[in-house]
Parts: sequence; C-alpha cells; structure tokens
Amino acid sequence: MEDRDLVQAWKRGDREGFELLMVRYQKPLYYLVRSMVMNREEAEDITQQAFIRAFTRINRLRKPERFRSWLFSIGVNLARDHIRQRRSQVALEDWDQADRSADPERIAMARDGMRNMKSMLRLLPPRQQEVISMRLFAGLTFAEIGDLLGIREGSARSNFHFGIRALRDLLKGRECSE
Amino acid sequence: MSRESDCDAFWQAMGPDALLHSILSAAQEHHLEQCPRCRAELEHLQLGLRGLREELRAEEPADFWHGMRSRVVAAVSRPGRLAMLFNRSVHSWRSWWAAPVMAAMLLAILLPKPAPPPLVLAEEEIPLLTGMEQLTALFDPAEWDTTLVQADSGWPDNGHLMDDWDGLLVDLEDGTLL
Repeated sequence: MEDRDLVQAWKRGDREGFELLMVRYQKPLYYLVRSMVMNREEAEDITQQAFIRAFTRINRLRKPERFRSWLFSIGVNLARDHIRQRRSQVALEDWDQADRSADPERIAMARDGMRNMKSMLRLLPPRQQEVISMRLFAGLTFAEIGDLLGIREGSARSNFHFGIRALRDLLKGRECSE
Repeated sequence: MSRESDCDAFWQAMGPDALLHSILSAAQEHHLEQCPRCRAELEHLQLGLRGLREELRAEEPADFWHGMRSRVVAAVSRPGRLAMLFNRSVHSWRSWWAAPVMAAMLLAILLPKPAPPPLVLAEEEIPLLTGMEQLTALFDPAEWDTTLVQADSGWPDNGHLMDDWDGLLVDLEDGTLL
C-alpha cells in the first residue's frame, strides 16, 4: 500500500493507516535522528515526539505522497532544537565558542575533549555536521538531504566536503596536541 | 602537477563510498600508493567514521520498536497520556496546563479595563502650583535686579553652565526666561 493511501485512510479516521506508517518509518526516522543527536535515549524520545506531532498535524499535510519527507523534516527539526539546546548547555564542547573566546586554555580543553569522532563531529558547523551524519550514518542521498534541509543537492555535497576537510584538520590538531 | 595539488585532488574526489567502504577510483588508489600522509589521514578518518556508524546503526531489539509504537499510540489515544509523554520529553514545557494559562494571560491583557475616575484636585493640592509658590517665596522681588546683573556679567561665556540661582536670566521687560 502506498503512503498516500495510508495517509488518506488515516485522515478519514482509520487509525490503522497511522500505525502502518509508523511501522514503515519508525526505523529510518529513528536512525536519522540518532545520527544527528548521537544518543540512543534522546533519539527514541525525539522519534516518538515526531510521530505524535505528525499525528496531531496530519491535516496540514497537503500532499500525502510527500509523507515520508514531511515526517523526516519534523524529526530533523525536533533534533535540531534538541541539539541547539544541548549546545547552549555544553558550551565547553562548542568549538565556535572556544574559538571566539580566543582563550588558549579553553581551546586546549576543547581539544582535549576530542576523544573520538563523535566529539569532533560536534565541533563542526551545524550544517556540515548534519550533512555528514545524514549521508554517512543515516544513508540518505545528497538529493534527499538537500530536500530535507531545504538546500540544493550541490550545496549538500559541498557541505560534506568542507566537513570532511574540517574533520581532517581537527584530527591533525589532535595529533599535534597529544 | 605538484604534490600538494595531487593531495587536493585526492580529497576533492573523496566520497562516502571511499570513507565507509574503501571504494576508490584508480587515480585515488594510485595517489595513495605514493602519498603516505594522505593514506594515514584516510585510515584515521575511516576508522573513526566506521566505528561511529556501527555504534549509531546498532540494531535495536524488537521490543524496542514495539514499545515505541505502543507509547505513541497510547499518547495519541488519550489527551492526558499525550501530556504525560510530552512531560518526559525534551520539550517538557509543553504541559497540559500551558494552553489554558496562556489563554488566561491573553485575556487579562486584551480585556478592556474600567477607566479610572477623573482626578479633581483643589488648587492647594496641585503640586506644581504649590511648588511654584514655595519657590517664589524664596526670592524677594527687590533682589531680582541684583540677580540679573550678576547673571549678565557671566553671560559672554556662552558655554558655561549655570550651577546656582544667580545664573537664572529673566528679561526684565516681559519676565520671560532668556
């Protein structure tokens, strides 16, 4: 059964349409969100919220055949909000802030915190981090990423390349400081 | 072509397949054979990204998915449950009481308020008038000429500030302030 048919059934009040869509998309949505927030419990929580939000706002979806990208964009926005909130809480891990402060001690502390790839990814600009995570960990194509983030496919590609370059620089920085 | 530009070209062509599955073009393979620095960098990146991908894509048990669906269905079935789920989420401020409280605050702001009764004061109660009376009582009209003479003597210096009553200039003809 197509997404469109399930959405229409759901809009008519058939709860099974919603449940079948949830079975179909809970895994890809969960892994997409998890690739962004990089935490199991948070990803579970955000995925649930995304489905609840989709359920309560289904009447706003004008093109039922676009359900998948609509649902994913809800999940991505919730994940972004969450990351933004976390970034403001964990300022120490935020490379931008350490850089802006121009405080060598803080920069050194941030570098020390780069124990693994996860912490290095968190130091990238948000867009680069999103594109790398969605492409490498969630397995989306650049075209899908562009669609989700509202950017061109070419822009998604260039963000990927800039992000990989930044990761290489961070790796070199870590080697130098060790 | 210099060595640096070879490295640039190598990284420019770096795609997800190369990072995750070591699928490289012939030119990239050739470059790696000659450039130990790029080889080491690529190995570092691959190691970190593959490790993180494995962690983020770790398969969840069946009851994880079932539990998630059950919680979402329970939440959307009853408004009370929806509130409970939102309360344990990252957006805990979206509680069930938020909407009524917001509505009450809006009403308090928007509802027309009764106009205050008009203020009617007796002449002796008007602060400005009583203040003026006290002020004029300090000055003996016979001394006004003296005041003016003193003020006039200081006037050529237009820039100076008057810091006492001697500086108060009054036109003798019509009594206006100069």
